[in-house]
Amino acid sequence: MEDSELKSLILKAQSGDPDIFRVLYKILSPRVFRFIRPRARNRTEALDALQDTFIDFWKGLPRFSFEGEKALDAFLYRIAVRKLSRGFRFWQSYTELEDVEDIVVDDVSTPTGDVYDVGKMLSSLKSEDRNLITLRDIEDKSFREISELLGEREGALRVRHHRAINRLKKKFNYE
Amino acid sequence: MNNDKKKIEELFRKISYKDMSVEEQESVWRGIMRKQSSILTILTFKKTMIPLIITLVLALGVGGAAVSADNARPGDALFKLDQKIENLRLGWSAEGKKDALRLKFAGERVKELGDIKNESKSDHVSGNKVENMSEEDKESVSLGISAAITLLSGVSSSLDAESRAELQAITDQLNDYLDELPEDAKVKVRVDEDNNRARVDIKSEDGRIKVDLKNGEIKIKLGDNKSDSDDDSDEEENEDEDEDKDDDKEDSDDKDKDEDEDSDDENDRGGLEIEAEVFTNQTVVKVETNDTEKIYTTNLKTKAELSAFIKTKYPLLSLAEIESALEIEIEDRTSEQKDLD
Repeated sequence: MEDSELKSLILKAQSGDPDIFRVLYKILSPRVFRFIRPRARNRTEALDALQDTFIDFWKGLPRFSFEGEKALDAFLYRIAVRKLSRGFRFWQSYTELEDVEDIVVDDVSTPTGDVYDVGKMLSSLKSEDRNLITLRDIEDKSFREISELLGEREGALRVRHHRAINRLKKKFNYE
Repeated sequence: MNNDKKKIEELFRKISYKDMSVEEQESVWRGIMRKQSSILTILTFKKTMIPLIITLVLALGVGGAAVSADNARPGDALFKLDQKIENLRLGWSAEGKKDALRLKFAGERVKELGDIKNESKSDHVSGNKVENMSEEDKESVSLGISAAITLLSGVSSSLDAESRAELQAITDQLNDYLDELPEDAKVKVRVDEDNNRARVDIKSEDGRIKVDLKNGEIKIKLGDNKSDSDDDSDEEENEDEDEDKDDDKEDSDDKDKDEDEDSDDENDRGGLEIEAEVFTNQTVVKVETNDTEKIYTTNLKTKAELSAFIKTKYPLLSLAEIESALEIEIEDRTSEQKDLD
């Protein structure tokens, strides 16, 4: 969708019409979910965070000023991260097999046990480390990009990433 | 636990997650709507409560007048308060009990209309026809009929036999009452299964009852000049009714009709057909409503995107209507001029 069309849709949605907001939701929710899912510990948590993200987006829409699709994504992702970190404070941290059933592996030869371990590893991380590893290792972003996104120093991010991976290696015997 | 030498980073790079399914997307949307509507209710409640509480305190302070509000009739000073209280009760009640309340309140309106009629009869020895009523009574009758029909139009189709009988009884009473006013005026309330809402039809050939549907509110005016109504009898039902436009009446009517036609183009949902041809360079969207076709071009391709696009052009159409009418054809070529004809 072009910026002009997205802008027109947002302007109309600002009037509070649920039908128009539903259109926005249909267009934007798949990408927001793709952002949220690796950062959530399971699918249910991801869907809950997605719901809360769009409720906040709807409430904040009258004050939102559209400045392009990337800025819109960044706005939604900021809400999503806030919702996820809030969720981490209240939800339990253990992982069930069904929590990682929606993980898709590029390499079909990867043992199921490893896939389960990946899910467990991600679940065991603190919210901010999970976000960092998702950005770096799953979404394949450079530390420079991550630094711009999170507004943190590149060096500090490298150190935090290194320590998080080391903790996982030790905890899950991946030496 | 796995003891091989694979690096954790490599493992992470191999994984992704399944996208959200359509069912999950719809389920989350329902959750958003549930929470959003409860937030709106609370906000509306907060906004309306302050003046309402003040009104109630004042009303109670002058000798239990709030109790009187419940007995207020259309035209009485406390009638609006009575309606506000009814609306709050409707808002607070469980979904399954709303219809019973609507029927109860509509029944009260009809009873109040009967009271006004009886009093008017005793005041005016010549009879109780609408032209014999005082202006004040006419206004009260208009308000009462409006309120009753608005309540009835909100009744859902899932009524049990007893409630249907009650609905019929109220409609009959309303008809009986209207029979004594303009002779041909009839109110028909029928349950529309498709839209899960009662539908209200009102007809009055002599134009004494005018029905105005605006922003979901039904407003009814009772005409009082028989000769005016006769003059207008050949004209369309949706003409402007302002009384002070004698000299400019024709011009005004023409203008109104033009405006109606313009809005029909964008918002009339009769005979809706939407065809989208997705070419390799652009998508051609043809929207036909009531034999009027409009053609748009866009670079959007998916059903969701195209529905959104059409919604921006036809804001009064619901997304469900657009999606059900939209037919998409994929063409493996670029578009040509003939495709835009």
